[in-house]
Amino acid sequence: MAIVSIQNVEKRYDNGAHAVRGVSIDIQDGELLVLLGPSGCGKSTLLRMVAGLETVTEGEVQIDGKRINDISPSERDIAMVFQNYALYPHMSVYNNLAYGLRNRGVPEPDIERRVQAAAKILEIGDYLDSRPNQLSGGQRQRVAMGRAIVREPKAFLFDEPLSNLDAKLRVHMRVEIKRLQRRLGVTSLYVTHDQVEAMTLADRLIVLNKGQAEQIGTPMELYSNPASLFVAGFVGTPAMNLLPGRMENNGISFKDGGHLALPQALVDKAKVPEVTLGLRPEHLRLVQQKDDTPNALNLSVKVDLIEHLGADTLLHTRPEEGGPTFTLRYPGEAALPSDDRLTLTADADKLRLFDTVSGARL
Amino acid sequence: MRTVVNHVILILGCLFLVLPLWVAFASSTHTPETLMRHGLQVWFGDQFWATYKTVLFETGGVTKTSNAARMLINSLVLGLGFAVGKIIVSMLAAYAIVYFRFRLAQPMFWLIFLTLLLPLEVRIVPSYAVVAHLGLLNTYTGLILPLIASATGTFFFRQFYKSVPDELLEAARLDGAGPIRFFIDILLPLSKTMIAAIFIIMFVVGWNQYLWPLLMTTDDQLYTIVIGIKQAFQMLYEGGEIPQVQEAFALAILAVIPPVLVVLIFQRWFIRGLLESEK
Ligand SMILES: Nc1ncnc2c1ncn2[C@@H]1O[C@H](COP(=O)(O)OP(=O)(O)O)[C@@H](O)[C@H]1O
Ligand SMILES: [Mg+2]
Repeated sequence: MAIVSIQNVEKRYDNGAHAVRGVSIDIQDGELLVLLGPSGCGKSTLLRMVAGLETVTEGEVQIDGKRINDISPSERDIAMVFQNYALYPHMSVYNNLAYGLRNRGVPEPDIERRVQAAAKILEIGDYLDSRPNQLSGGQRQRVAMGRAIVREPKAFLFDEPLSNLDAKLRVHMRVEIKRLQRRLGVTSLYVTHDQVEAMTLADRLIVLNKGQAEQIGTPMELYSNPASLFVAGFVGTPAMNLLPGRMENNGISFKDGGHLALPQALVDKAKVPEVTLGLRPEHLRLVQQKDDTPNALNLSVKVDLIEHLGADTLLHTRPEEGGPTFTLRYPGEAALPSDDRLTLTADADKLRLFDTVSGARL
Repeated sequence: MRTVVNHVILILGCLFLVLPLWVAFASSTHTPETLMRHGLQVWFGDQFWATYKTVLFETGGVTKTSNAARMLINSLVLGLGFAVGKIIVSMLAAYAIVYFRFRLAQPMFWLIFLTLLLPLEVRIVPSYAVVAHLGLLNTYTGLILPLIASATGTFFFRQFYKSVPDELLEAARLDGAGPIRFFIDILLPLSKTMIAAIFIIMFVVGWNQYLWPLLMTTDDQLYTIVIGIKQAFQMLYEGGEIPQVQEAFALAILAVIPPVLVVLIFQRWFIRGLLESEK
């Protein structure tokens, strides 16, 4: 149990790559913090600095208030689960779990007890004598987690631990990791580029873009109130509708044509000419006739493409007289009006406006 | 039809390789008189025990002052020392090159690699001078030590270590393994097949060393079996009496057996390792 604190951490590699640019965050005791970002944004680098596998160029990493920048990985009391599991191929599962304990001089009876306990939690008791190459991907994943658990460390680090599994197993293991982390209450830092995984696992999320923290918050905060265009585009599937345009006549004139009047509150906020309108697909509604309530938006569109996802239906639309395309999501399999001309409406308080140039939320 | 042709070629190839050995073996079980009178033999005679007992244990005969048992032991020491020494030295050298960041690591590697261009034959005079100055002539140390640096071995181990995933090292570091523990607990067991492969090759090369032992050893007690064969054949043409051809053949057969055994034994281990292994 520990608080892991990252303070203004920078990483420059020897070849000059500036991989992490001043990231600060405190991971609370028992919290599962997910580091989300596209590949190459510096997630692994940040994680590895916490693990001690990379040096920290600037800033501090602390555990429980103690600076650990210069402490070797083994003395940080941190366990890590690797993407490719990194199990010792020549050792039995038992020895894979026991190895770290032996190196720490834990007495053999204690090792036995801890390995058995971990094996029971992870349901790998039957394979303790097998070699890693005799196990399936899911089983190896469990062994890798077991190796982290037996150490009873202050913190867990996960570097895309599920990306080598097939989709179904990934969903399954995701739930298990979450359950396990809850049960053990160990402070965890979890790296992934998969935003669904991030949203479902995280107590809090940090979105990284080109080495910088774009936003830190709970999954719902990020989803409802993305702090930047980057977060808005990255979090959520199907992605948020992001429609660039110019502020004109108390509304937005879209690049692709068409004008949409915006509520006064938003117009007041928009102090820059180039803006981007953000609107989640599920916040658009299909209506038979225009909604006349003052805060509603009304858009006339035609249907371009329909995607049936089973529980939901995705509708890709095209505006009637030039203008941007929208994606709209509605539950179930609603019948469409026969003449494929639709009126879309959305509540004005669901609209988000961004500065197109800086990407910042307005 | 194809398989028939393939098999015929295979069988012919085998015969081509095995027949000389067979003739030598069969001939070694006859008396020298038979061999003189009737030439080489393709079937056994009745002198097997007599010939091999003389060759193995009696000094004199074709080798004058040593016997084959002694020479086999010397060869074994040379072959084992050569192979084990090369493996240890090249594993450690490769370990340093791959896993430790020190200045000039890359140039050092290429320097080691360049020594491939300088085989023993090229540097034999200075090597001899060094060993002589150290007073190591006619010792096992002098016989083995100058041979055990291995660019080939270092290169193979380097390639192998590079193929070991970095995460394994990182996992071991988090598990509290230092450089020595990592080497012994992780890298060494993973290198088993590599070691077996290099051991086979190096043992045979060491066993077959000719020029260096010839120069190094003036004391009969240190003759290896390869040197012994050379001495034996010299003797055949110098001696006045009936040449003991069967003993020379026996010596040659004895010289072949240990490398063959090593290949057979380690090859199995090697293949099993290949099948099991997975990094
Ligand atoms: N060992 C290294 N040396 C130099 N540059 C590196 C090294 N590791 C990663 N990088 C660079 O740092 C950036 C971040 O990499 P990484 O942290 O692995 O990203 P992610 O895990 O988010 O995909 C990338 O641009 C990558 O090229
Ligand atoms: Mg990564």
